[in-house]
Amino acid sequence: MSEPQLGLVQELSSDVKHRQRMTAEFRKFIDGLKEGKFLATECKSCGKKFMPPRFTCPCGGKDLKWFEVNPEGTLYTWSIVHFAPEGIAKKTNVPYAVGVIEFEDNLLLTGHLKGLTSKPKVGMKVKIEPQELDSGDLAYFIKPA
Amino acid sequence: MSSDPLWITGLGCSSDTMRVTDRPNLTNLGGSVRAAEMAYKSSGRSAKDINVAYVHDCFSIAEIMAYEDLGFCERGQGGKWTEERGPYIDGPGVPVNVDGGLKSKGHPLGATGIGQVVDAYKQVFGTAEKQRQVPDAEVALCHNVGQHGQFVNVFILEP
Repeated sequence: MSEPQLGLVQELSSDVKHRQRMTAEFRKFIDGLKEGKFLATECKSCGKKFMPPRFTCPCGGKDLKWFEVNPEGTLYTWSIVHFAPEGIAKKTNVPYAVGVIEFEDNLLLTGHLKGLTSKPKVGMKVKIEPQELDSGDLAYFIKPA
Repeated sequence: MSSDPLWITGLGCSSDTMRVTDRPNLTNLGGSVRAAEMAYKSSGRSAKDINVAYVHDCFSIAEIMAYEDLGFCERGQGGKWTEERGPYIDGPGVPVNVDGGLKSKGHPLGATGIGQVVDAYKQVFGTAEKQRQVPDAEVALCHNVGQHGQFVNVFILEP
């Protein structure tokens, strides 16, 4: 296939902003992103880890502690999107690439792929990087490491 | 009550994680597998007893995964099964979505599940349009998924 023009989400639509109600706990994750850190949580009862962070555990545990995730990992899977969903992004260059990055402890995170110089490959080294959009919203992208 | 009822002989319900990336794998719906197991167990039927099936084809890949999750073909063989016409009305396996499925109707939420049961009734009582009537259909299966696999229901229906 021909090399796709790899675009990125330009801005989030305003109704997505309205739907974002941030708890004080989750704000700590966003503040971490602003400092270039990826914070996650671990259940003190069973040891299960959550990235992005969760504050209750399926085991019933309600006491979770914060820890920092190494932003580098490998590409778990990827796909090319040819039809951008309406209402999520006002201006999106299609086609664009999405993927799932796998961090240590088998933590998985979905995101847009950016900065690819060739076709994505499962297992390639990638890293997650936060970025502030023109709209002021925070996003993160998966880039080759 | 109707003089020709269609009975629910099997029922299965299962849920799964909200975040897709919290699941053990991304190539099937654990909810479908568990709901199907429950439905088969409660009805005493198995995949090979099903004469006509309606699966939740919100997207093309969802239908292919459903063939595998419901036991209509081997795990990992859904694509090949489709190419071999397995799920076609005149194919070697269980005819799937002979009414065109969710996608052919634009997947109106809620209504799609009811649509499946309505068509299952037609098939079992032989009143479907000639070209898409499955001959001698007796045992029907309806598979319905909420969101992207968070909730799955499987019904087995017989006259």
